[in-house]
Amino acid sequence: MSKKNIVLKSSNGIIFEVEEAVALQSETIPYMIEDDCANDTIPLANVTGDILALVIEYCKKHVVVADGDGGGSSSSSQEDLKNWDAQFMNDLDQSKIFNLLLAADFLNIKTLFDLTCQFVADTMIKGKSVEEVRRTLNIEKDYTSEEEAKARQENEWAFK
Amino acid sequence: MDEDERPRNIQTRVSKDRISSLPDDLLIQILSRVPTEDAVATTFLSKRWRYVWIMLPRLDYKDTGKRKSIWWLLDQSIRLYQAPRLERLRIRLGRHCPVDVDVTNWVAKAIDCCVRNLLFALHWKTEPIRMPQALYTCNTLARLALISAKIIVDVPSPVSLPSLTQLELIRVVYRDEDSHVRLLSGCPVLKHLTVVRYADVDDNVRKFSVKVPSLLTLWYELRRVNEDDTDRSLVIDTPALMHVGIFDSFGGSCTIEYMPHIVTASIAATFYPEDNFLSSLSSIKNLELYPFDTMVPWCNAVNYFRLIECRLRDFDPDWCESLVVLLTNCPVLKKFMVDCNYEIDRSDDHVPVLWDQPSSVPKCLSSCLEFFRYTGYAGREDERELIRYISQNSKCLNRAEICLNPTCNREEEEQMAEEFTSMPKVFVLKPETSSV
Repeated sequence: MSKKNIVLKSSNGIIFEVEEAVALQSETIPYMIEDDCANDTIPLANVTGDILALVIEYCKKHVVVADGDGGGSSSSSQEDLKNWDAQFMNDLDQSKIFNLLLAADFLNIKTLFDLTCQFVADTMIKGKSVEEVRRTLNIEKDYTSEEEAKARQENEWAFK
Repeated sequence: MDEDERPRNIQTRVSKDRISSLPDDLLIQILSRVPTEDAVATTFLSKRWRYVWIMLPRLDYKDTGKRKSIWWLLDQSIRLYQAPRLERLRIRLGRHCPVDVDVTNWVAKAIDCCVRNLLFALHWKTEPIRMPQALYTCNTLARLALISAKIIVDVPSPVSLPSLTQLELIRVVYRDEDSHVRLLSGCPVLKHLTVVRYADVDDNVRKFSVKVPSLLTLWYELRRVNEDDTDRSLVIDTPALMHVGIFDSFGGSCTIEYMPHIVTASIAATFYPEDNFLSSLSSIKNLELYPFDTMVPWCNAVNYFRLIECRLRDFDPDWCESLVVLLTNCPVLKKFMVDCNYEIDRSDDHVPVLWDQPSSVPKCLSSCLEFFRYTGYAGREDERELIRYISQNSKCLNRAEICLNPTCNREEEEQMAEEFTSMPKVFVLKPETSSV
């Protein structure tokens, strides 16, 4: 049985040809196939090439396991996959992480979206003080001194 | 080449705050994955973040015991909360919460925000509290759990909870005998009900009556404390019920209407089952039974003609006779598990009750039993005979497990393992290796 391939084109014009099963982990792409001419490349105006490459890397890894045991993948392969996911996220810088989050949202790849959200939640916000979160995420404190004093007064509770 | 790289690096360094440019719905997705107190604190990060958390669909305030009580954060933050629909609010307060906190405001706010799933657990010694009356007429509420002996269920008339499908009442106190009846009668689509009553608390109810035509699952638990308080009873009138669990070590009476759709039952009760109950059991597929004093009524009266899986807990080897009767009444049984009491109090002159093999082999043994497990085997002759009888007569048996009693010493264990070596498919497991 010949495998059908799908051609994806990133916003900066980079072409990726992937197996259909890899691409169909995105719930958005099937609609694009229906809407556009199926033979043409599918343009992804919101996703740059470097991010699309990451998305495809993730989807390739996950499609292999899903097919591996005829649906019932063993616990060890689940464990491997979890480790792979953790490593995959750890290797990315913040800019890539947030672009990946946006891409997973746009392409509607639920497991990748959950993975990125959870990674951000666990490593950048959970259990951290306000100052630590600001530092981690490079968030600029834009309250004026006056506003901040007022907010702290109004919200004394959060500092208890 | 260095010159080409440099401007780009500077560029990335300047615009490093990527998260703040994400749309609100994605920030909510991220915040819904951190503990509520961390999510609430993001209000101070910057102006951008000030009003993000207030749209979170789920809030979970839980005292951990180690730290200060979360009640103050809860009290102040919930005033600011603004989501049009509060998917879930969980409040679990521990011992460090002050006794004079007005918790009802929080519930009122949740009702204003169209709460769908509310869990309220108090684990501190406060004065008894009443929930706002609006809780019992909340249109959106689909799941409600009240957990505390300090919560008085005091319902208005009439109660109207048109969306409530799941209700848990754990240790609560009822204003009067009738409160729970009115509450349940106002839940037209209730599917799952859990009631746990602790007998150390007088909950003002003598007869607990569950009359809910839509109910599919019922778990009822009454924990015994006082010997003299035996006048509590249970009435079940739930014709659609499929799964029932009754844990009543009280000896109170139980009146049960016919339930033709029961599929699973877990019963630990000292009451003597009446006919309606026994005939309801005839349709079940899965039975877990703690017979307490006797197995006789559960074995003789019912033909379990659909029972596939059966587990007997707290089995006394003196009941072997009844057990064989039970097997005779289970024509399609596939899995049979018997957990023997580890240590049964016996007088010194106790004579084991011997059993006789039935004249014909029960049908389930000759045609369907695939798995048998006897847990707590202590080497008694009647136990051994029973195990041998079942193992040797079960034509479809894939595996029989004998889990040895933990009170046995090593020498006894080896001797007991030896007893079954000649029998194929019988596996003797030591206590620590046996599966549960």
